[in-house]
Amino acid sequence: MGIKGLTKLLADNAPKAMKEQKFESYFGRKIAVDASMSIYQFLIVVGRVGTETLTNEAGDVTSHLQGMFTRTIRLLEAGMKPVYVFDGQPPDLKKQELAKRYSKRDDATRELATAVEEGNKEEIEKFSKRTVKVTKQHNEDCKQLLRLMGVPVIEAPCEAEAQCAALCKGDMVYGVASEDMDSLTFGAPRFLRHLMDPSSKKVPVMEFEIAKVLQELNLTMDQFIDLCILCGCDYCDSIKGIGGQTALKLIRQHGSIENVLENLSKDRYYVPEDWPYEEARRLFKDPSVILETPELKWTPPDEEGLVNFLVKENGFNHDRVVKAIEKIRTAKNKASQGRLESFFKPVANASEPLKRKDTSAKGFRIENLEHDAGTTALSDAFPITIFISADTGKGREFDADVAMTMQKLPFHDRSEWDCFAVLWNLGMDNAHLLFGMEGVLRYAEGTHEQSPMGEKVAVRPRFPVEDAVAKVTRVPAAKKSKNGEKKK
Amino acid sequence: MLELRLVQGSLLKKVLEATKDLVTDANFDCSATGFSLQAMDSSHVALVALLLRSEGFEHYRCDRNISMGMNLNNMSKMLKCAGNDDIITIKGDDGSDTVTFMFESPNQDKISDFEMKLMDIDSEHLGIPEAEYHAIVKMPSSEFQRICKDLSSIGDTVVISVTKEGVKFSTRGDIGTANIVCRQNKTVDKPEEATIIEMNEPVSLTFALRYLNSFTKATPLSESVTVSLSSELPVVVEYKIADMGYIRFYLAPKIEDEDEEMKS
Repeated sequence: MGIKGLTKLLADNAPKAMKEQKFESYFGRKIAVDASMSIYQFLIVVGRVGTETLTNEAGDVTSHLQGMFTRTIRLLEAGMKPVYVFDGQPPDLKKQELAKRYSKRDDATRELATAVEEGNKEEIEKFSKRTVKVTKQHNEDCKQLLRLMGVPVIEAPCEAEAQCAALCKGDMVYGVASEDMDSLTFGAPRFLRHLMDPSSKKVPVMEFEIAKVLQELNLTMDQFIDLCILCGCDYCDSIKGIGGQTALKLIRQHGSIENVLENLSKDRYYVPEDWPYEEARRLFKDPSVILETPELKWTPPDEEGLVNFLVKENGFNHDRVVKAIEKIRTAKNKASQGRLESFFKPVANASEPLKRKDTSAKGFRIENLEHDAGTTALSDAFPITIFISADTGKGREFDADVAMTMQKLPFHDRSEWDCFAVLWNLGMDNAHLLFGMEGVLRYAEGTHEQSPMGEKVAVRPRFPVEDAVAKVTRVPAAKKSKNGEKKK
Repeated sequence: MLELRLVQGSLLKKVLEATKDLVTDANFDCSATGFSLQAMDSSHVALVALLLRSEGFEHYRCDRNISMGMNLNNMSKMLKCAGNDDIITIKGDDGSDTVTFMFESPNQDKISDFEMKLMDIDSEHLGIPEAEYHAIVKMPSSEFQRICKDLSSIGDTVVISVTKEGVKFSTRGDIGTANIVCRQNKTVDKPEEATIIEMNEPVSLTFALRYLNSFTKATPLSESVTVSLSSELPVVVEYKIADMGYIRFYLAPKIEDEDEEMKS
């Protein structure tokens, strides 16, 4: 289910990428909802005690209808415009995972039978939850219900999450509501968790923004996908012994799964022989989705149809259904509230916080670093990212000047991972120096050597990188390097 | 380094009372111009903009543009500890993660120091262009407060329309409807009591009363309020703060669903 441990990993490493939002604040927003996930939740939660579930006269389960009906009305009443996306054919790779789930469910069914025999209530509760399965019929019922309610339905060719993400990328919807973290791996720009939780739970919506996730983790989207695969996804096994933290460290260090595998200690970790990470990556990067979806339309509810379907066929209370339809109508008639962003545009604020924050790696990015032809054997367009941050209490006293000097760094063969950073009078006693090559973050423990110019600090990366942040103590004060003045 | 001494400390208390229900956390910005704040409510429907100009302070020292993230509820708790006649000084040291509020009683026999932790707030700053409004209504602030309160007992939204006749506030609810018309009236004893309507073009807009009611918490700051309306813009409800600046509230109008559908 989703990506293992990603929520915690983000909470620890990219807290700014997640924001708590009030349910009510999504008024007027179009939201793509992962329907299959919601139906599954409804079957577990709505009206089920032990093996007893909500059913109609014929004995068919109606929990999913009840849940879908009330929860959708809640969204509509809050002024949201939901569009439900249903799963299509699962990709081949997921079949393994699904087979696992089936066998687990079979086990649970057997356990449940024993529990029922023994009359053990706790066990019954536990195992009946695990036997819950979303059938094709459940899906069809919900689609019919939603169409009658005037809510658009999209059938994904493959995975619903991927289709939701595509809708969001195409700006057809504001965000994706799911509980499954792979929505982020599919690149949904805005991902909302707990939106479909019952109001009685009083959990705020958790909003994730992929752009901020990448920025905070300092990864590219491709690297993020690799990270998710390493953490463990639905498409392939993970490597035993590698959890979220380790995966993040490895990706930051090596940049891609290929490089991670090359450098991974074969004694410590066992990589599954047939490990289809490339295929998994392809599924995340280029999933099968419909790009040209018909225009999303929210229409008035079909009262007669709803009464027929819910009351006559599925034994819902007539009065309740009629009242609920009335609610949908009034929600539709309400003029919707505008937002200030549609009138005013954001601008930069000139003020700086009293306490200048940040001891973490944030700095400037140099694209396509040029180098001295004579000193290195690097390729011409060798991107390097340099992050320097310092906790001085006096503030950070360096800026683009460093970047310019860095352009003239003498680099050695990059296979040696040996490079020089030039720092001059930064006006600080401590500098944390982090630098990266080819977008790969390298943490380095730095020792400084006085160069003839008195301003060079040689930094040799050392691995493992546990004590990641380098401390360059007492950077010698010096005159500006002559290279420093030269603009690119 | 930052040190702002405000003789009329009660002003700051009133400002907090007017904003803390709308916004929970906000960055106060301090520059050579003055002490200011811009913040939106969590759903980004309303915005408050405050300016207390530096000239209004007895002593104003601010070395660079500084922002201080504060929880308004906590700030209000502290300011409530200041007497109404107290002189309030706001102090902050570079590199510190706290701000100090110092309260001095008028006869200098009691001095209190309250130190509050600052927060790291990621907030969006909106650029608000100067605009020509279709209609500007100036009226006694207590009257405006009364109207908003009365109407919210009938309905959730108010339609504010300005015509040659005057300004009309109307609402509709389950129990019925309500219409209040205010006409221009300049023949009053005090200028604050006047109702002045400047209209270039008739305008009619719908707003959520909940927010307007929250704005009227600023009524103690000023005897009169100015409501500026334009059909393409959020309404501005402004309370002038004597000799110091203003507190302005912006509220996005309600949009008919059909229009929105056409836009998307």
